[in-house]
Amino acid sequence: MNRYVQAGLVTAAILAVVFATVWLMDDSRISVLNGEIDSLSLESETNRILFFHNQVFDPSESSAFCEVIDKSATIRSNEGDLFFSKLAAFENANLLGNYGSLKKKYLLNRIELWLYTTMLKQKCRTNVVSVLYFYRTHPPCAECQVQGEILEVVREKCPNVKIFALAVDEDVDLVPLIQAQYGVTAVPSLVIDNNVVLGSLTDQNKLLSIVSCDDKVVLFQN
Amino acid sequence: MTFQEQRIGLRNILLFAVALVVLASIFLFIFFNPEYSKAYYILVASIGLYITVFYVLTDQNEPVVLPLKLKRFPSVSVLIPSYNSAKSLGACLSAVLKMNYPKKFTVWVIDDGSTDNTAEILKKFKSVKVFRQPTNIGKAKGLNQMIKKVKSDLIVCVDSDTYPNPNVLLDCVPRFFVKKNVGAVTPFITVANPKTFVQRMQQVEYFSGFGFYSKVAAQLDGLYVAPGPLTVFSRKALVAIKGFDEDNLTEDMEIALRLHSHGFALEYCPTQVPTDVPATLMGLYKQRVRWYRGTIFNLVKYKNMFLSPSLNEFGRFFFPALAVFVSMILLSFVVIWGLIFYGIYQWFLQLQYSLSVNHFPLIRFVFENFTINSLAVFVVVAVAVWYVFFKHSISMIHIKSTASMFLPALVSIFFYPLMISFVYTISLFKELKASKRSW
Repeated sequence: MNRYVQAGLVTAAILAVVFATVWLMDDSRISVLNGEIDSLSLESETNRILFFHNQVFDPSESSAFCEVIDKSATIRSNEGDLFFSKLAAFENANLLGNYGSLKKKYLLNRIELWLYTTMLKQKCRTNVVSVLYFYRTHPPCAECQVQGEILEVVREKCPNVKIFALAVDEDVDLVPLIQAQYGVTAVPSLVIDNNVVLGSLTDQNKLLSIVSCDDKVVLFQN
Repeated sequence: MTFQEQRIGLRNILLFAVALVVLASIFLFIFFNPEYSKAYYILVASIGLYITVFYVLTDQNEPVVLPLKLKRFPSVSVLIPSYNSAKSLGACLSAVLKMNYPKKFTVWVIDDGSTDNTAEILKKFKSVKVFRQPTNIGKAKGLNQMIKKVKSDLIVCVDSDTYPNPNVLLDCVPRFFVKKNVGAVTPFITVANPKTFVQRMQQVEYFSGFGFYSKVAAQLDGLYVAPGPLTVFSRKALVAIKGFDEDNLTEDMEIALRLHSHGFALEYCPTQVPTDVPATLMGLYKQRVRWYRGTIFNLVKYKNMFLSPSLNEFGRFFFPALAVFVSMILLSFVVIWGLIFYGIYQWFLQLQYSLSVNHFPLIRFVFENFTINSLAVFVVVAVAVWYVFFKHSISMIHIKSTASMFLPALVSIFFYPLMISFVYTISLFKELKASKRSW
């Protein structure tokens, strides 16, 4: 046999093993994330039905209502944050796996939480601060990564600050709608408490001066 | 053919291809995306893997040609061009005079108008003949004049900073008779007394480049350098191709390509020939600019060999492979330095916004668990490819890998791609600038 072809076949065999290894690594990460996004979705379903139940049987803005919303808005938010940093790290390590559907599911979950938070702030008295954060991953955006790290620091300092990272490059129709709502076009951009729009990379000190930082979430009784 | 005429013929497919690579590089540089580097890395690792498999298979499949036991040894002259190399010349001559050979051989030093105490050192070696040039005319010119003078069957060209193993002639000379038309035999060039870290890195590099690589290349008629430190030439071949090119940055590569184009073969013998190498980064940089400019120039000069059917394995595989290799190195420049600039920009931003810099590109810690980047699998492939060449090479000269080689090897794996791609790109621009001037 021609030695060039022979070497080609052996190389192909080795590369097959190499790619299979890569695929296994990528796949194991994706299945971990899939399991977690499933449990996040399940919680989301539960909350939605709870909310619906409350609307049907007790539509007055009682403390029970506020607690239901708070559960959605703040507790699930923390789990989502954990999931998101895992997602980002795993996607960075990824070579062959497809992260499209995972990211879409997460994004929708996040938008829902943002809506709950907005409602919580409108209907109940709370110290929660919501931060909408628009970013993109393709093409890469170094400023976005830095903004993300800054938000991470702020989130750790102020547990009452809830961050909703919305990827503008995911094909989700809701995101352009929200962007238009606040007149945001650039990335990275921040919208704090649905009224302060920051259209460029914002440093930690400025952020801390805008948000009112608290060491825990408090739901004030009416 | 004069230097000027060679330059005029440069407008050709290969230069066009290089221009395309440069354009692609500029395009990539402007629209740089770190994702490209992943795809590029996979491509490079896969090509490296193919070449390694090809080499290992060739090495196993080709019958080992044992050098014949010679009844009559050919006559040998040793030519040592020397220009202001008083520091190393004494040690070089001692080593050369100790070479074992059944016949007496003459040693000539071509003193190329040295202005240091070369003459004093030469006085100590009574048996050495000296051919003194009144002015500095260059290595190739001096050698060409001597080639016309000597009458021996073989001519050994030795650099004045090289200290050959005593058995080099006994091992190399019989290789002239393993097949027809052998024009030159090249040995295993190694690094003499590596002291500085830069030299120890080069030691590792020379092991993997001049050992197993050259051995298999020779089996496939694919040697494209007749190393300056020491090469044994057949005088007939040197006369037939009219000696060295007197106006070439790497005349040792040029002469190998010209031997091929005249139908001569190059053979290899795995005998150590230690040579001095640059001790500092700056010295290494200057040496490499000269090498790589020479490589680019000679690739273009011998473009006719590209897939030439008259040359078997050399034209079909090695010459195109070399051209592909050079093009890939130029692309690496964009990918590697693009990544570095992107990293520096991000690092700068992180500093500016007083964030802690934590980058583990291949291993990432996620909540006390860590995850390994899939790209690491290809890094393992690349390191394995390098190790195959390194291990085969050092076993050829019965050296065991020592702990002191580990750090230079580790650093060179990461440092060489950076350095070579950088220096190659600079060399390309220097060469293009020089060509333009003469057009």
